[in-house]
Amino acid sequence: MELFTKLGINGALLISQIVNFTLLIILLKKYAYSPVLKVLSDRSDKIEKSLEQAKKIEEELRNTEETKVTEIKKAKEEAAEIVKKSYDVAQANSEKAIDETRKKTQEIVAKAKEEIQDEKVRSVKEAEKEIADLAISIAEKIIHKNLDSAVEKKLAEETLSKIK
Amino acid sequence: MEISIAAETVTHILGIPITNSLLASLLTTVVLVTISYFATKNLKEVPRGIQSFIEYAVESLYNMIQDVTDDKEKTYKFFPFVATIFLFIITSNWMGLLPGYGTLGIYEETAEGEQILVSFFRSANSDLNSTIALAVVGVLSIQLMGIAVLGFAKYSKKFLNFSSPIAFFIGLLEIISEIAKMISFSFRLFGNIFAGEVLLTVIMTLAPFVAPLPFFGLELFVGFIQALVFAMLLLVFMNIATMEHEE
Repeated sequence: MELFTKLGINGALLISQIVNFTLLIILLKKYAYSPVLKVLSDRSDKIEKSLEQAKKIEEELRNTEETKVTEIKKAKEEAAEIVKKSYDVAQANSEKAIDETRKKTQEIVAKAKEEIQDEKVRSVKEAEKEIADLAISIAEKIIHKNLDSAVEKKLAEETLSKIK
Repeated sequence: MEISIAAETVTHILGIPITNSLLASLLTTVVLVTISYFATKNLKEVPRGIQSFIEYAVESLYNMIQDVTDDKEKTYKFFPFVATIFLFIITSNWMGLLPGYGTLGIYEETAEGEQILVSFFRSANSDLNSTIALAVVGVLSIQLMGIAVLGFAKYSKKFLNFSSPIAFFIGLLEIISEIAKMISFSFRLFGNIFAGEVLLTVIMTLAPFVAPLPFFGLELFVGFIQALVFAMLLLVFMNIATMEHEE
């Protein structure tokens, strides 16, 4: 015990130091460690979450970009197809129209020719008739005037035969 | 110049001698609790000022413990003991270097009629009572962690094992080693800090100006190293005590 007193070791002091230090542990745990560790872990959780979110957003963006590209490609292909189809249809339509027009034209031309022919025949007939009438009247006049003249008679006969 | 291994008694309260090192311990406690109280009064998402400081301190200690244990649950269990040991030792060591420690005091007459200066504060760890108190709490906390992690039955087998004579003998050695831990913890810290105090006193007596400066730097370093050593050893012992033993 001599050693203890020389070293200044004292039971009461020792116990009071132990109590003091235990108290310090409890107080620091309450005021420093628990709140600060909570804040730290909350913060790291938050950072982790935001990083994850950022990653997700990036991925989504990439996906959207990809779909955009494919969509555009698809749309372009479709547009080209539509244009080609409509061109084909137009081509077919126009060929058909040309064909029809040609046919109609031919028909009209044929009809017109026919009519012309008819007209020609009719006018020839009419002309013949008129000439015959005219000849007859002329002949009548001549006959009335110079019935006796043998020459004129002959002329009239010749004319008549010519008309006929 | 008086150098005494025992801390000087300033006054008595309820028959308990109040020594200057006990006062210094109490002052350290008050300083630490006050700082942490105000630093964590309203914690914000974005740290500023004193909150950044305490966050840095807590996070560094947390990482140090996590590096050793590699187990989050254990880290949370060890943290209050290891961190408080570290903070208390480093704070009281550095506060012991403040002016006023060992110089502010009252003159008292000894039994021999000599006038000696009894300072109000003396670096807390230059008194064996504080260091033994730290060592006792430390070693008890090691046992506490062992019981908390492994369970009482499993942990007590380390000391009391009747499965074989050899195991029993090893158990006895373990008990002795726990006591040895207490002694080595307390005397290492006491020796370093007390030696530092003596060194500074001697240098200041020999050459009061400029010359003590490098020694103050040295003592700052020693104060930090001793805190780190105490905390690290405690941490390692705790980690060993909570490890499962393969039979």
